[in-house]
Order: sequence, then structure tokens, then C-alpha cells
Amino acid sequence: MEPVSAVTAAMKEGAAQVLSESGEIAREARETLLGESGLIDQLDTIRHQSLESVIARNEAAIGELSLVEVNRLKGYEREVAVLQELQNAYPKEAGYRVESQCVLRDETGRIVLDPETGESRRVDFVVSKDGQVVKSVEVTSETADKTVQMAKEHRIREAGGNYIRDRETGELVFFPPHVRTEIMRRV
Amino acid sequence: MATTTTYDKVRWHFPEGKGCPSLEAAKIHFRVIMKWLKDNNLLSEEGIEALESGIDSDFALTSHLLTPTGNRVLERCYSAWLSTVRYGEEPSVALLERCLQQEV
Repeated sequence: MEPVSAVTAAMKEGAAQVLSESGEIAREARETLLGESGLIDQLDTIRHQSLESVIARNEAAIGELSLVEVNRLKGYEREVAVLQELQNAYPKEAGYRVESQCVLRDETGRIVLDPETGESRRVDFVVSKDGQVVKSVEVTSETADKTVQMAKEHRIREAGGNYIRDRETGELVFFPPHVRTEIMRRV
Repeated sequence: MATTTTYDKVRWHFPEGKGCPSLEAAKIHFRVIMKWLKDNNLLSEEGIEALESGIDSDFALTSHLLTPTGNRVLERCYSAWLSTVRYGEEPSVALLERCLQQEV
């Protein structure tokens, strides 16, 4: 099943740095979460039971990790889940491209900074087709307040930040004004 | 789709994470590692551009910001280094230095 295997590859890729050279802290927990058997178990559970089952299982396993690592792993899990959904809904075979961590740029390719905060805007996932953005997604936790971030994005787009760069071609991709970033909340 | 590995993001720690007291506390280890990567010529063109635009609340440390050597170092050692990080404290880069020495 293509999407699941794609997610397995993505999870393994991201997990590689977690598993390597970190034996001093919770190796078993990492194996449960991110080892090959752990990943297969998680995907089986997602397919046959529910994402909640995976979360409950992982909650137990990550109890031994440091707070900093736990926060990173949870953020990573949220994004992997959303990536899978986007790849299912917008398949490559139908001409869609899913890019992640895309900075908003102007028509010359320069990063546009928020006139109020001086910050840039990096969108979690952008789906494009035929040289235009068709969907933009921000992934976050169930409770994080995104008001400030969305206001920043609005100001940057008003200031001309209506392009992203396609990393494969180097070309700029237009981000039409009617496409607004959607917030997808995950546990 | 160009394959992206996201090693870490500021937002995963603040406001989305637990126990991180502030945005500033969440940014510290990103500032430290980006400076170290730059000092060791491990940033790609996109990485240099990202550093110049600043470590802000949207910052994400991804594979696109790094050279191939930079990616190998972080693939092997980022998690181990992160286990040395405590919110609000400036982490040492000694572990990263050791990892880099093994690469060259």
C-alpha cells in the first residue's frame, strides 16, 4: 500500500537520528517508538484500530525520554500523520506536489519578512499543481494558539509574500490570494 | 517531492511542547546549533539564507539547510545532542564536534 510505505520510509528517515548514538537514554523507548518493529506495529495499529491506540502506546514508551526529546517526537508524529493524509488526498500520480517547510517569498524569490515582527513565515505543508499552490497546511497541537502566527502570515502575504520555491526545479510557485493556510490540529 | 527530513522545529517546543517556559527558551538550542553548523561550513545556501533571516518562531531545522556532511552528522548525532539540551540553558557543542571528527 503505497501511502503507508511512504510514511514508513519517512518515519524511518526521521527516526534514524533518534536511534543512532543515543544509547545512554531510553534505547528501549526509542525502539518501541521508532525501531523497525515499532514502526510496523504503529502502522498496523493505525490501519486496524485507531490513531488513538498508537498514541496511548507511545505515551507509555516516551515516559523515559527527556522533555525536550518528547516535544520533538510529538511534533514529528503530528507532521508524519498529516503528510500521510496529504499524500493520500493529493497523489503524485495526479500531478500534485507536496513540499514541506516552505518559506514565503516575493516575486523575485527574496524571503519576505513581517513588517511588524521582522520574522519570516515557514508553512508546514504546501500542495501545488501546475505551478500554483492549491492547499496550504499548518500542523499543530490540539491546544496551541495560532492567532499570532496566522496574523503574521496575513501581513507577509499582504507585503508580497505570495510565492514559495520549488526545491526540485528552483522555480517560484505562485500562492494565490484565495488559498488560505488551514490549521490541522493533532494530538 | 524533494524529500525533507525535519530534525526539529522551534514550535514543537513552544508553544506546542510541554515544559518549555518561553519562545526564547525554545530558540536557544537552535541558535547554538545553527552557529556551530555555519562555523563548520555545514550549511547549504538555503541554510545560510535561513540563518540570515533569523531564528524565529517558525524556524525549522531541515535537511535542506545542510550540506551532505551536515546531514550525515545530524542523522547520526542530533538526537544524542538533544538529550543534552535543557530549556533555558546554552548547550555544549562538544558532542557535535566529536561527531564531525568521525565524519572527516
